[in-house]
Order: sequence, then C-alpha cells, then structure tokens
Amino acid sequence: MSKKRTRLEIIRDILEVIKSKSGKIKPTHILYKSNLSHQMMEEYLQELIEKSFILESLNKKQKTYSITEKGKNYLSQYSSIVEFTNTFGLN
Amino acid sequence: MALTLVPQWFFGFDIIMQLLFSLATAFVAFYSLKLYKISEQREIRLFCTAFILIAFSYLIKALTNWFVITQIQDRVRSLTLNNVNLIGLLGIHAYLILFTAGLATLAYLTFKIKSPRAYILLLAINIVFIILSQNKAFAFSTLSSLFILFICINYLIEFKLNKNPRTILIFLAFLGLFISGLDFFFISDFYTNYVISHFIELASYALILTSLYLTARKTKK
Repeated sequence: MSKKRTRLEIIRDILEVIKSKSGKIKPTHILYKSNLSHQMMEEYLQELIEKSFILESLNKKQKTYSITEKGKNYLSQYSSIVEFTNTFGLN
Repeated sequence: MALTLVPQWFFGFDIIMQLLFSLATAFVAFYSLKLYKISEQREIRLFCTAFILIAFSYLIKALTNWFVITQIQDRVRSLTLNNVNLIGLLGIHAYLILFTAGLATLAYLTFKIKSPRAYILLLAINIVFIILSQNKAFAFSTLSSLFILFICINYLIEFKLNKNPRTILIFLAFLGLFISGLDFFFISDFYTNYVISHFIELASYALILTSLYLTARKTKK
C-alpha cells in the first residue's frame, strides 16, 4: 500500500500539474491528475490562491488556473522545505 | 534570581554564552523564516515564532545580567539600587515569560492540531502561572522542564517514525536542554551546576545548528 501523501506533497503535485500544462489548466484536469476528492481539491486550490501560488481566471465561463512566480519558487525550493520539516518534525 | 549563586570567575562568561544562545536560536528562526516565506506553511511559521521568542528571551537575560552587574559595580551612576532592582526584575520576568512562551509554542506544534484557542490557552496558563507564582524561579524551572521533556518525547517518536539521523540530533539537543534545566533543583547544594548547565546548553544549541547545517547541505547536493 502506498504511503499517505503529506500536505507539502499534495501542494507540490497540484503545482506540478499546473506547471506542466504551460501554466493554464482546468479544474477537472487538476482533479484527475492530483488524485484528490473534489472537496479536497477545492480546499487546496483556495489555499493556493490565498497564498498567491496560483491565479484563478475565468475564460468563457470556465475557471482556469495558472502558476505564479511564487508557486514556481515553491517547486524549486521543495526539497529544502521537505528536508527541514522532516528534520524538525513539522509534517 | 541566581546572581548570588554564580561563581565569581564565571561573571561575564555567562553573559557571553547567553548572547551565543540568542544568536544560535535567532539563526534557526531566520532560516525557518526564509523557508516560511517560500512555503507559507503554518507549522514553519510557528516554529519560527518559537525560536524568535527564545532568541529574545536569551538576549533580554544577557542584557539584564549585564545591566545589573555594571550598575551595582559602578556606584557613581545616578540610578538608585531600587531602580536597578526594578529593571532587573522586569528583565528577568520578560526572560521567564518569553522563554516559556517559546517552549509552549514548540509543545503546541507537537499536538499537530490547528486550534488558535488551544494555543492561546497554553500561552495564557504559562504566563499566569509564572506571574502569580510565589516562587517564580521554581515555577519557571518546573514549567520549562515539563515543556522540554514533552518536546523531547515528541522528537524521539518522530525519529522512530522517520529514522532521520538529523532528528535524533534534535532529540539529543532537547535532552541536553532538559538536563541543563535541572540545575535549579540542585543549585542550592552545588552552585557550579550553574556553570555546567551553561556548557550543556551550549552543546545543545550546537547540536541544533549542526542538524540545521546537515539539512541545508543535503538539499544543496
């Protein structure tokens, strides 16, 4: 059985999915790729918008998401954050 | 508080060591602040807050000790002994409250819950207990020892789960802080414990910095 993902891993997965789609992606695609329930995905997306990791925009009444520089910075520094939280038990 | 129990030859050294503790904990706070700015993780923010509180507590302790000693030695100054006593008391109270508040924040982090009310209650109990206690030194030592013991056990559990060797360094560091905090309970019989406890504390913060350095180095590879 695979290990349950941590919050940091889920955030990384969502950001990776958005980044891989050249920065613009529909929520259904995120749902499919991030392997989360709809409610969980909505909560995470809301959190990521509040933290300015992603931007939400309306395109023909369809929500799309794009990654910000801050989100890209999170991905590039991800290993530092994980090592730190693992060492100091902050998971 | 413990001024009369400090060995004469150790005057000054203890202040330098307290400044070093302040620098070490401030460095941990600075590193975690850097990571918090990137990740915006609540746990990292709380960890940073805890170490900022501890860093300030040591800084205030060192400045208070320095101030009281220099004012008492220099009789030409216009400050009366009462004023010196008042400033000393305020400084010591600030140290007691900030240090235990930092430990309470670390202890709260180990609960792995998101409840600001629980956090505020923990801080309030901590502050009220110290302010209202007749014997503040005893209250402080008991409270801080309990918090550190609790944090120690948490790091041992964390190590059993993640098998991360750097976590065991953190466990050993807090174990050292726990042992160093026990000096109060024996200080009336053996005052050189004050000196020994400072060296154990120094070793503990060195372990935390080593763990932080190894963590930072691993991600740079």
